[in-house]
Amino acid sequence: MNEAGIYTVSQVSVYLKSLLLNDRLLQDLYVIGEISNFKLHKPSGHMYFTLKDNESIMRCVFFRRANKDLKFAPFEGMKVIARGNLSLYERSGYYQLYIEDLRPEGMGTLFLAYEQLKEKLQKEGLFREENKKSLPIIPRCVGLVTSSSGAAIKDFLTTLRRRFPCLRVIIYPTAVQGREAPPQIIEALKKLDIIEDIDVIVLTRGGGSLEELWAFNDEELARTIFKMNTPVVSAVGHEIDFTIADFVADKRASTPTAAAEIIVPEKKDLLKHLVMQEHRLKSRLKSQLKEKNMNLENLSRAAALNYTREKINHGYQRTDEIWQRLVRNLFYSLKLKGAGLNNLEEKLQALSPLMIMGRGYTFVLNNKDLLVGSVDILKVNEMVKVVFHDGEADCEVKRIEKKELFDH
Amino acid sequence: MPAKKNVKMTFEEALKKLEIIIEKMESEELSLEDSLRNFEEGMDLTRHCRKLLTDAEHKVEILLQSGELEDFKEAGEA
Repeated sequence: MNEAGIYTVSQVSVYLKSLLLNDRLLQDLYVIGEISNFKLHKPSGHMYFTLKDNESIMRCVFFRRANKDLKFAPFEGMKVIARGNLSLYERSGYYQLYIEDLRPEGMGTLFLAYEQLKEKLQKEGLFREENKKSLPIIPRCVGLVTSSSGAAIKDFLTTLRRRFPCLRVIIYPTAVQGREAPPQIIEALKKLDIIEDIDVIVLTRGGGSLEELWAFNDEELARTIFKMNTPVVSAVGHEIDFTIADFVADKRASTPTAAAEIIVPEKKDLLKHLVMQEHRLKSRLKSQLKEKNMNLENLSRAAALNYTREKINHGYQRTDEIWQRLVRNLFYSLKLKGAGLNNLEEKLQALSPLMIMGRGYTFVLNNKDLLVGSVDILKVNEMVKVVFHDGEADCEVKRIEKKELFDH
Repeated sequence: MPAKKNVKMTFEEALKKLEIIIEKMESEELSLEDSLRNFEEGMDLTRHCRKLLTDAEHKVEILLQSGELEDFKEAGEA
């Protein structure tokens, strides 16, 4: 300060700055406002923006040192509460708020951070269904990343053993909450990923608050899970809790118990399935054999039938031949002997009994109209009928005398 | 022999192969020789699957920072 009471610009600035720095209120100040003109200076990581309300604006600086732990990305128009101290930037003559901490107004910081990371990774395709690896039906060995104490590991192992009594499990114990959790979990995943027998890795912890589950919303952890060669099942918290790890994992289980149910089937179900397949295999072969056998039978039956038919055809032909021969012979003999037919008729007529009787023969019937062929059956005084060729007469037997006319 | 070829198969590889064989037998008109050969291979596969289901042992280990494995004592275990 000189004698005339005239100050240099710098002198005023320094004086003003000292006033601001000595004001207790301005050195630990909470300011609410909307973000505008947001700029992230890429090389340094510092953030510059203004906070405004309807009447005023205030310049803000959020240095890398202070913003590196910020869980969400500030954006234009976002309503925030900034904590910091007010000071003067001498070079431009502005007062600025040097922010130490920033949080979204109206919703939880963690919630916002979660939403933002989720959206970002979703856009990058980390949650896409087609990027998800399928789980083996039965893993040869299961990798387990969780805290070695706590209910999650117990629930998981108990359920696993109940469903599938013989299974190898390799546990990599880690912290499951706090700052040290994400790097530990990342290391565990990477180490288990290169063990050849491990076919599936389960990442689990029991329920907790959003803060307690926060380790599973870590961006680097999400990217690690995405890059894994082994399928990862994530089971963090309870049914209602969703973490970023759940979204990026190949399969999400609602609880540690559910994770065990997802990674192994019931052994007895598998055995049943196997028995069914075996049955299919056997019955197919059986039916094929049966079919072939039937084909064979049909074939031989057809062959036999053909043989018979041939025989029949052959027989028909023979019959035809014989028939023709017969007809021919008959025709021939008829033709030959046609003239003798009349003679034959005469001969036949000559043999008729009536013709014989015409020559004077008669026959005798008893009273029952039975022919009397011998005197042996006649009795004296019996009435008989004597039949002539032109009539009959009732007669009485008077005398019987047997004569041996013919020698037998 | 198919049996030797199947030794290293995982359960699902074997099961998948088995299902393919069965489907082939059920849908295609195979010669009896082919059917028999498929059947034999199928039976080998079911044996292999069953072995995988029953032979493995329950073993829980801890992977230590050093990279070594150590048996894990479960709560309630003697």
